[in-house]
Amino acid sequence: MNHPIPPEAGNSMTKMLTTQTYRDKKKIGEILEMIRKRSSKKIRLMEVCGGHTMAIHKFGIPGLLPKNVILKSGPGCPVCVSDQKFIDRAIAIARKEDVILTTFGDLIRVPGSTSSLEKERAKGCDIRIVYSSLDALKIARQNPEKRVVFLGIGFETTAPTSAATILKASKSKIDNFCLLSAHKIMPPAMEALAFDGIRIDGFIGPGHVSTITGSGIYQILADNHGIGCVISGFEPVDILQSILMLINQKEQGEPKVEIEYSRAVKPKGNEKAQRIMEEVFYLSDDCWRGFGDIPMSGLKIRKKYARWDAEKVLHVTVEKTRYKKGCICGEVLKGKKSPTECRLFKSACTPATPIGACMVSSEGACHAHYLYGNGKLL
Amino acid sequence: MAEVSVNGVRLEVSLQLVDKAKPGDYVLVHTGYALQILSDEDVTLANKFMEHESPNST
Repeated sequence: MNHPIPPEAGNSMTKMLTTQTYRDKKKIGEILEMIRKRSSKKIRLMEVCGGHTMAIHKFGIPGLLPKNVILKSGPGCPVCVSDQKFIDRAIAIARKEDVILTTFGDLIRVPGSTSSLEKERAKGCDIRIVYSSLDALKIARQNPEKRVVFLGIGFETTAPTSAATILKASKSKIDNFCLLSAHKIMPPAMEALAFDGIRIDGFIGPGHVSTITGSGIYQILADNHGIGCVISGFEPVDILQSILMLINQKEQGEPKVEIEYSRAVKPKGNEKAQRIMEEVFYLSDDCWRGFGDIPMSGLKIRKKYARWDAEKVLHVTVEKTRYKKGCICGEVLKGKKSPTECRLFKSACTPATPIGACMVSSEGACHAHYLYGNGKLL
Repeated sequence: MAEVSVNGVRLEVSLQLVDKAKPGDYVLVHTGYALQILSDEDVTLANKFMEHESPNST
């Protein structure tokens, strides 16, 4: 248990008890018992958040559930869904003489068509891992003679942070900073799965995304596709409770949107962050690994902020995209196949030598399966 | 900007995405920004949230 400052004496015990509540074995046993009692039908549930993918496998949840409750991973890992063309474009930008490319760590190991950012860095390109887009802005301030590019990936959780950094660059007149946006929004991909005919009875809704967006964005899935959504926290009790709520929806034949993670997710989300995102970005079609183009699913930078848009200020020739043979990341991201169905899994493709993006990122389904098995080890 | 402690490590985070944060508040932090102010009973959750958010996760 770690204490943020200032840990006031007296209430730390309360906090510790709260932590234990969400990992309490007795409570977990009780929820599992209810799941066994209430679920009579086969039910397929999908999580669409990389944090959930990790938590579900780390806590061994698939192995605890009855056989009729099937869990699938969806397109919730930002690194994984970023298309290969985006990686190739980032590589082309990094090769420019006057550029410092900044990125979150996972992305540098994702294989592009013929190279990766990691390989380009080894060859001498100035590629730096940052924790925040604000760090990239600081690098820009310190290197006025260079163009500092930040690779913006992630969903509604991360997009507002990139937007806020662009507003800061604009206010501080830092014109040598720019963003290559591959930011995406989650609902169109969830709907694309439904249109694609993939059988899903309910979504374990993304907790981090929903902190920003609120719960209303998933209503279309319940109304138009009959798929319920329960926004879940990240502890075992949270996840099992959400699964139980989805089972109840299925048994009662009433798909709806519910919030299990009410401690952090408010129905309307963070409206200030939504406004900042809206100020900087507009919706556009975007390409997702495994899905191809999904209409109105990507966030592009508005004309007003074109000075900070890498697509507008940097002109590069991007090599022809070549997808890896044998890699089934695309099908894994759609929940069509499990990582263990890939012939490269654990043989040619491992976390040390990843072939597909889902093995690179710690939030990827292949990485989680590699580390924790399918819940049978715990 | 505000100074926060994440697992005992002091970090500077931006408060641009939240309203009315004040010293002593607990906040959810993601890639250098506070995303949400938490009430006291939410604090444990914040710690867990951080656990699932590796520094380079998005």
